[in-house]
Amino acid sequence: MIDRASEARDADRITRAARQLLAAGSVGDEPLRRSATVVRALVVQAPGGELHSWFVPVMVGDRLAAFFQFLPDGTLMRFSSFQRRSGDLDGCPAVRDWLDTDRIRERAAAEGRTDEKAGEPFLTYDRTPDRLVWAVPLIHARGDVRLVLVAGGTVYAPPPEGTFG
Amino acid sequence: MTVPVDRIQRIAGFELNALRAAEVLGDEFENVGIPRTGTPVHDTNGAMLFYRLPLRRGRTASGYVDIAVDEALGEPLLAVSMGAAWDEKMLLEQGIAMAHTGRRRLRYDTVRFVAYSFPKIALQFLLEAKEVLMLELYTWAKVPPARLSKGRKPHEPSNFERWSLLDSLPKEIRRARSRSFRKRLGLWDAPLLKRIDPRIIAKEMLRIGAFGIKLFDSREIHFSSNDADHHPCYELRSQQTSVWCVAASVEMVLNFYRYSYDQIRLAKELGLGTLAYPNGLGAANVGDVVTVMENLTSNALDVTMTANPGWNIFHDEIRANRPVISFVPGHSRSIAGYTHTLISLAGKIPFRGLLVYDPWPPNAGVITQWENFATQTYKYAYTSVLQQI
Repeated sequence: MIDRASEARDADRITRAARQLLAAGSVGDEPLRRSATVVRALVVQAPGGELHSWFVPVMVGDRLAAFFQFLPDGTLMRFSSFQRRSGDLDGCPAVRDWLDTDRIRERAAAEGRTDEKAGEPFLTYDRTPDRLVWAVPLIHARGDVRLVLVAGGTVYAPPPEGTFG
Repeated sequence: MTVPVDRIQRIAGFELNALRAAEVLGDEFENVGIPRTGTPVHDTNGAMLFYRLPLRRGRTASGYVDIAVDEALGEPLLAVSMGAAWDEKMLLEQGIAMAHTGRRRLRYDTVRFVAYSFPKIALQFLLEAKEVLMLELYTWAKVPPARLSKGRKPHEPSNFERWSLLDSLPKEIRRARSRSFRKRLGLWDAPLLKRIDPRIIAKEMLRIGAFGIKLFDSREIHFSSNDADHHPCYELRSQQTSVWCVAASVEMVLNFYRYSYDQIRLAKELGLGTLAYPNGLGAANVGDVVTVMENLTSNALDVTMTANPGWNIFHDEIRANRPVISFVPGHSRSIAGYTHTLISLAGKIPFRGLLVYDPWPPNAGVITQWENFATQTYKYAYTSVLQQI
């Protein structure tokens, strides 16, 4: 389980590393460097609940332009960009779709059945760390809990293991 | 065979200076100093695996580098990180404090760093050489004892499972890795480098005439194999449902060859359901990608599926100006470029990256530049060769 006491310190450490990489030109391009804001690192939980990695969003205005993913020890796993072309924000999702947990919970709740209430979303991945998603527990009045996954505007049930998709 | 500790600093110096010369390491590494030694990190079987050396610029701690001491790791440079400072003393203090929390009777005489599930590190507390506690670094969660599972696949640990990297390496792989490790060390023993002091990282350190570093080899898919007269030519297609990554990957490759099939049609051909009721591609049906791509191009494309593809598959295809579909566990993407650094004197620097056109997340997709080839598990690659014009 994640030790909340050291989480804030580690988030700062990872965020600093991301800012340095962007500022130094190790990732991204010049237009992105000029206009981007690196948002504070968020925990990515493994399915068992433990810390898997850190997600560091890079936003331009109200768009999520790119993100970093780091291992807990600070190793950069990847830098991924939503931009199709340098300076182009057309294909980039809204920041709110990925960072506003109220909006994410609402999206999940809309998929809920009768007597199900959406719990607290947590950032995790669907089968492989490449597929970052928010998981939202839907809690039935009886106490049963099932997860739905939210990736931007897409809400879905966890797919079966052993499939590619 | 293991590397003696007095060689660690020099090896780290040459490895990092080569990466800096090749500009794989950015300006943030310029004038960073490498210490004489670092934190020993052990395998769960007790053997020494690597040293983690903190990197400093002046008095500021700024990152770390991991240098292997066991030849079985294949390359001396395991990892380098900037921004995440490594403070052994502080981590020991934190870990010891956490170990005593709720465990007032804990007794131990040794604490050491252990790669309990390489590259994840933990603190191991020992009493008379027997483990009494293991706590994962940073999370300080207790690492459970090793499980005795007969059917367990090597290098596929479940979450939070400890395993020995060295014990899980088959003999032949161990031998091959040892050879490559020794070859690499031989590079840094070249007479030309004898007089160089590599303890400070500097871009120009290894740019000496006779050493002749070719900086890197990098290529992206273009309209033709002539890169000079036009821009890269490949387009990202995001998956239209949460389970259509295969359809999106196939769409990207077919688009490159000027075939326009949308994902609804491709999903139908691949048995992935409909937009309203989509499903993923079952593990038993991975061969369908070959059949469908060949059928939809009337066999103009000759498609081949390769299980557990190595670097050369991706490298050679991109050199031939052909994109590749890459399956990783649970997901599919397409590959449209690569980069790797070279040293003309002997070997390659171990940074190899792929340019990934990833259809995830749905209706967005991302371009990852570069995905570290060493950190991913590649299940299948689909290569396609144009047969008819």
